Amino acid sequence: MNDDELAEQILGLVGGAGNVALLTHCYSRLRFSLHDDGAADEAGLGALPEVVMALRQGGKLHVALRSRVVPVHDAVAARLG
Amino acid sequence: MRIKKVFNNSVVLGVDDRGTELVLLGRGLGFQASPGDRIDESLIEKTFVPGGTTTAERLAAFVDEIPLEDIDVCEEIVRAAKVALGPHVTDHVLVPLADHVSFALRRAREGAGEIEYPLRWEVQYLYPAEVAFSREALRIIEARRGIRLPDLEAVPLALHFVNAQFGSSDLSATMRMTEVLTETLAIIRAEYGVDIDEDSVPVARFVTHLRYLFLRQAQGRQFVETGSDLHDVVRAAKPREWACAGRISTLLAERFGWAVTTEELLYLALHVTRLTAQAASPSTGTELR
Repeated sequence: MNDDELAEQILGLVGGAGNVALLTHCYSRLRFSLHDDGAADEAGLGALPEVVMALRQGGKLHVALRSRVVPVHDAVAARLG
Repeated sequence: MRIKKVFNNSVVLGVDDRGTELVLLGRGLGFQASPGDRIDESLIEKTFVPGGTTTAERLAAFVDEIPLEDIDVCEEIVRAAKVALGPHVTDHVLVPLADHVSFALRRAREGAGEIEYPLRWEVQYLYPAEVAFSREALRIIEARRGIRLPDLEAVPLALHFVNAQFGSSDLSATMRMTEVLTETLAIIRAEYGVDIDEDSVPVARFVTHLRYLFLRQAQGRQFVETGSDLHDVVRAAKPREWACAGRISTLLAERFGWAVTTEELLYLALHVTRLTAQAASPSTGTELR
């Protein structure tokens, strides 16, 4: 899966671009602040081969990627408009 | 100290007599409490200071969700870091550090895969003191939490300690600095066609200088000018190094929009001179620290 395909998959599993209030990243994780936490599929995110783990911490949904966190963050951010 | 906001039964936002806001953790602190109430300070188990990008709301959410044991071990690590690395490591590093460590411990417990951190080699040679301390931090975590995190975890821990100089919980400034430090050394390599020993003293000094340059820029401070006569002397004596320093400052201007002063150019040129003098005659590379 390339960065854009992965970004599409992740966005779908967090409930779509409209559900994202804020997206940031750290060294290994995408961090989503969501409007509706219930619309996110954590298990589905965790099942993606590129995702190490998805979980809630500090009021945000954290999606840890095996690699490429910066380009994938940029690809997701580009879809938020 | 009085309550400003109740987050839940054990987490409240307090404000002290000087108006400083603190997130307070303690069983029963928020139970049937309202804003304006005086706080029973005997109930306070931990105090967290909001600051930088870590707002009171974020702190409260963090305190509520991260196991207290993970926060405890990170407090111990931050105390040790202040001794080992210096007072620029402040309590503001605690939240991002505990956030990272707690997550790494969960990954380890659940057997999740390892992460291929970006810039891992760069971090190891650019910030050797922080990496060495981070290995010590891994030992502290193992002793207190019973889990040996992979050695590779020293890399993100080191970045958090480097990032402490900026007083921000956002690692992106440090990640960008790391990329640019690497590119800066590449510019010098390309210009002189020499290999630069990343373990050498001049490289360590140059990297330290650049880190302070980043800090000066982040804080909007500048060197006091020494006067153009000194610039002219170095420019005339070391034209190649001066030009190389100019390329480095162009890179900084392109990446960050900085206006690098002639005074900064002077220091860059002197560092380039030292670096390439060493590379040109490796037999003199055994300088004593």
